[in-house]
Amino acid sequence: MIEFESVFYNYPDGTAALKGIDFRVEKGEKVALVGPNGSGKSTLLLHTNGILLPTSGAVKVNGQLITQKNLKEVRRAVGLIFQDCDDQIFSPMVCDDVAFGPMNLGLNREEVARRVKDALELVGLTGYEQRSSHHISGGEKKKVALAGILAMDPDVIVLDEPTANLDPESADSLVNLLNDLHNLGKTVLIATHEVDLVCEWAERVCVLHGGTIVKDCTPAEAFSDPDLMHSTKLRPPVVYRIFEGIINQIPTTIANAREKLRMLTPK
Amino acid sequence: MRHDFIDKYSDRNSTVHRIDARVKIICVLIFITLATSIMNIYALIASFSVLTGVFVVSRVPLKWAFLKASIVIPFAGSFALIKALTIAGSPIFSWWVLNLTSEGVTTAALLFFRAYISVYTVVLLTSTTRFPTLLAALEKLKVPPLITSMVSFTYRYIFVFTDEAERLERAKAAKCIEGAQYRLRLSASAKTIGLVFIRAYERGERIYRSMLARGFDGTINTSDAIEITRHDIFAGVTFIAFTALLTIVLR
Repeated sequence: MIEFESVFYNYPDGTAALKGIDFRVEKGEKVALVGPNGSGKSTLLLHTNGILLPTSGAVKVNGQLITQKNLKEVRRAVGLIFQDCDDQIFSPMVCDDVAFGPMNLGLNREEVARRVKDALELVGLTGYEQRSSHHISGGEKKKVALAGILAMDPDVIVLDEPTANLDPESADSLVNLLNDLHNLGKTVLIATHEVDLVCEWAERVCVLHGGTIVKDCTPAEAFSDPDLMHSTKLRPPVVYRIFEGIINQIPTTIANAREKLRMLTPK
Repeated sequence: MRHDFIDKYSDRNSTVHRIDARVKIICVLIFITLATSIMNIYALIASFSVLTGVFVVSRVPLKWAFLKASIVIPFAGSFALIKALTIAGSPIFSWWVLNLTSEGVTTAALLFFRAYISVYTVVLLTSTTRFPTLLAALEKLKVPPLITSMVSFTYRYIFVFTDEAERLERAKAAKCIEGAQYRLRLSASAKTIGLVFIRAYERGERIYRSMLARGFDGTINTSDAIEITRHDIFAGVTFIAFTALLTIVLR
């Protein structure tokens, strides 16, 4: 679906942000990109739909190298959701914002209207069409931003820090939504600091540090490696911290942990 | 943080609210042209009453409308004052080089009321039409999309920047800026202004990226068509005809 082949990227001021990234996301995967601040997560995400083009190396989407010519198709196929929703929702009215992407795809009015309606329904914001963008809550803004991407019918949904600045309920509701989308066949890639979310949600985790991918494995492998956690300034998820040193097979989710505890405690 | 709508009361439902925005914009333009050419105070009062009547129909609170239109007082007021004191004629009161004349007072009053009525008309337009609808209507009236999208971005982000400025003010207050020397306070204020500018610039970059991410290629697409009904035309023509009649009769 998305392939990075030894991608290097230097910012205009000369800062090297990506130093040889080899990275793949396959169709239907749920992948999390973790790493400390400044490790290059956001820069990597900006390469997934051609907002930034690599200084050297290649990024391919659906087997096609990203070039100026196929940018529109790449941006249709890979939907990118930014961390700050106020950057993403720039139309004064919700329906206009969701319609922005489909209109850029050159669809006719009826199709645009249908997609706006369907996208808002999918994120659970039916009836929000005429609402003002600056008078909806943070969680709702995130969903509007997501609807704006879904209206373009992407194959891959990429989110930068999806749960940052959201209250727990909104964060849960967003994660449920991502699972729903995954069940609908979408590939989902997120960048985050929230290791608890990663171990509950992701099938695969890529640990980014200093512009290179230092580990690409299952969440269980990554989080049970104390050296990796320490060197990349990450903290293992709560379940790992509780069970570490107590049992060998550390449960990966809270549900698993509860099960383990039931088995360990005498009736 | 909560801010007042620029287009407060525009989401209410009334006969005036339902009129097509294009018709309203054209009516407002014609009305302002008529009102600013009136040379008779009675005709001005009459057109003011017509507008007030429309406000009553639209169920927008009159007191709020008067206050909102009052922002013009410092500007129009100062010009009117200069006029009142400098026009030659039969003096009412005189001091040093300043002469208050009855001709001056009449001219000043006309100038002031014309300016006030113009703003009052715009208040009527913005309080009975939602801002995005107004922009869509301007687009349909062939205003270049570049201009309407600039206005649209301003409307969308003005509160985001106000919030940012407020956060910076709070950060300064939290560090006891009141206790600092005048020079230091001044320098802190200058830095705040600079910071808001830099942040606006950076946000602009991020917004542009997010537009690119959704396939933006430089062409601004406008939203769907709105139909003008006979009822809209009728309301517009009646309003303009009535005002024109008043101004002619009272000339």
